[in-house]
Amino acid sequence: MQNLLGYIARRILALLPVMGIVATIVFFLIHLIPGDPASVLLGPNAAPSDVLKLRAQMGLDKPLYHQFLLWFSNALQGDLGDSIFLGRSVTRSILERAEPTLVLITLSSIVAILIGIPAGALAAVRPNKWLDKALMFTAILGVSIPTFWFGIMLVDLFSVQLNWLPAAGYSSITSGIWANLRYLILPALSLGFNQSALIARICRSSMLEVMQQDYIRTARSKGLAESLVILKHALKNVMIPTVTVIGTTFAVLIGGAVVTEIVFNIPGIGLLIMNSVLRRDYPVIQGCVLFISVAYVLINLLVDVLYAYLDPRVKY
Amino acid sequence: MEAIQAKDRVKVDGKVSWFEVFRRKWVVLFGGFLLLLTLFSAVFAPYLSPHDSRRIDVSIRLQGPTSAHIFGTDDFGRDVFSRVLMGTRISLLVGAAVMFFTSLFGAVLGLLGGYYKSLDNILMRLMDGLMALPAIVLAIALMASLGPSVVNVIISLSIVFMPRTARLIRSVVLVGVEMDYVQAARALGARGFRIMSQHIFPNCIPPLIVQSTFIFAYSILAEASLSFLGVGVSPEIPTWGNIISSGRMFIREAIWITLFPGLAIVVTCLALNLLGDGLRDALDPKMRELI
Repeated sequence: MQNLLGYIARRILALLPVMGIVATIVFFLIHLIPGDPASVLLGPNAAPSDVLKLRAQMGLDKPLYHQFLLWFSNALQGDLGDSIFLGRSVTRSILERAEPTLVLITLSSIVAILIGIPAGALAAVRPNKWLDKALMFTAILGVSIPTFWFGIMLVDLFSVQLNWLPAAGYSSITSGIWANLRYLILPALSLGFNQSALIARICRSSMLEVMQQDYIRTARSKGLAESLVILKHALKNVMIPTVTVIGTTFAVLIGGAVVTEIVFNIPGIGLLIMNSVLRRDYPVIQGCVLFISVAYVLINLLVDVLYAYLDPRVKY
Repeated sequence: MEAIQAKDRVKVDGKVSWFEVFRRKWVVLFGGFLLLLTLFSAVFAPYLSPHDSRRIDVSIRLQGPTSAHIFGTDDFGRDVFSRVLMGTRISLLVGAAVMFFTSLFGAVLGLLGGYYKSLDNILMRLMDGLMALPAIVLAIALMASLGPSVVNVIISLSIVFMPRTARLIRSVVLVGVEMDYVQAARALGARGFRIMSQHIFPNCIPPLIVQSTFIFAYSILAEASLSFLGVGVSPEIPTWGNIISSGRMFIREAIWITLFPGLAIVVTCLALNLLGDGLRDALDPKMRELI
């Protein structure tokens, strides 16, 4: 346990420079805008006095290093500035939109796991036979399908043709789980299917490796049924690399959720980003990007720690 | 580790026989064939299009597939088939350009980082920073600042995907530096550039080829997503993402506007992914752990 805590501390320490670089990249995003951001934000018809005011409000009239240090120290305290458009702080706007995104990502992960692990395990039972080949072809097909298009196709089938589920929108989880699920089944399916491909492939190759181990031969030679060999002896070890991929998947889903929220009009962080892009509300864009990358990095950290905890062979 | 059958090995005396790669791996052949078909459509798109992709005729708007318009018509009465064909050009242009730039810069940065320990820390922290942002989110943020255009899509996606290639090449270089023949070259007085280009880089080529095939596919998907979201290529240019984006309003009455460009994306990316997957297994099965 002492070791594990030390490991976590070391990992967090190693993350600091990475987060510093992320913050720097995010800071400079606004300076990539050709010309003066303040006048771009307000449009060509803005009064010069308004432009000056916004420049001052955004701190753009200060020297670059000063802007950077100010932005950095504020961000460290959770202050990401104010939205130009929404009339409230960026942090508050993000937190208000976090629930739909979180629920969507969680559900998509569940879909991905429910499809990915059985598919991978099934493929590995008889490697290189037709079922394996068909499943692995489907996996490659899965990563070749654009999620937003797949989402629209699901809407066409289940909302337009069959009229089973709503095509778009969201109902908060606080107003009932079923109401919430009805809106999220299709988005979670479209996002999860794509990710299940990755899980299936890792699960398969990990399974193939485990099945060649001595303890599997021992289990078989003592007369255990093949299903028991797989369920009791193999699966536990297969799960170790699979957990890592599930973690990575969770992180990748954050990106996918942005696009899926647009398709299904779910008022999450993705929709917030895209609306802010259309309104040129750069503080919100910066805030969301920083928030997402922090979440992404923390999830990856959590996965690594979980991995070290699950597999006693890992030295940390 | 998977059992690799003897017939799948394509190395003769340690050298890759490309003829054997294509002859023995049907997925490589199939993927390659599909890709050539897409490339052919892109190059000859103006000659293959049965109609002018920009011709507006509201009298035939939102018509389903017929023999005259095999993919139907859109809300302006434009021929969807011709528009999808023209979209092939943008998708392949973006994919190929991003593949080129990520390979070039990724290889250079990976070689420098792997070879010069003093550079390694700075370069790799920078790459880690870029990779700490989900690809599509970073691409959206970059496009929001740069503005929608084909060139900006290529710049953004190159920035987004380059770190992956750099990391991959670096990991190959780190192994290469320790090899006896590299030590021998150094003992004979060879300098950094010569060692990197003559002795280490050749080992990087197979993983680079495989990785860039996948990046080609990622870029096509990412470009389509960006255009769909309205921050990619400007909406008046027919790209697959743009066509889907405009057809989305009409899924109740004209699903074909959305269906066919999406299928074009699926076929092209499937071709690239099959090719990449087959090449990876054929060139070096151990690569599976890297890419």
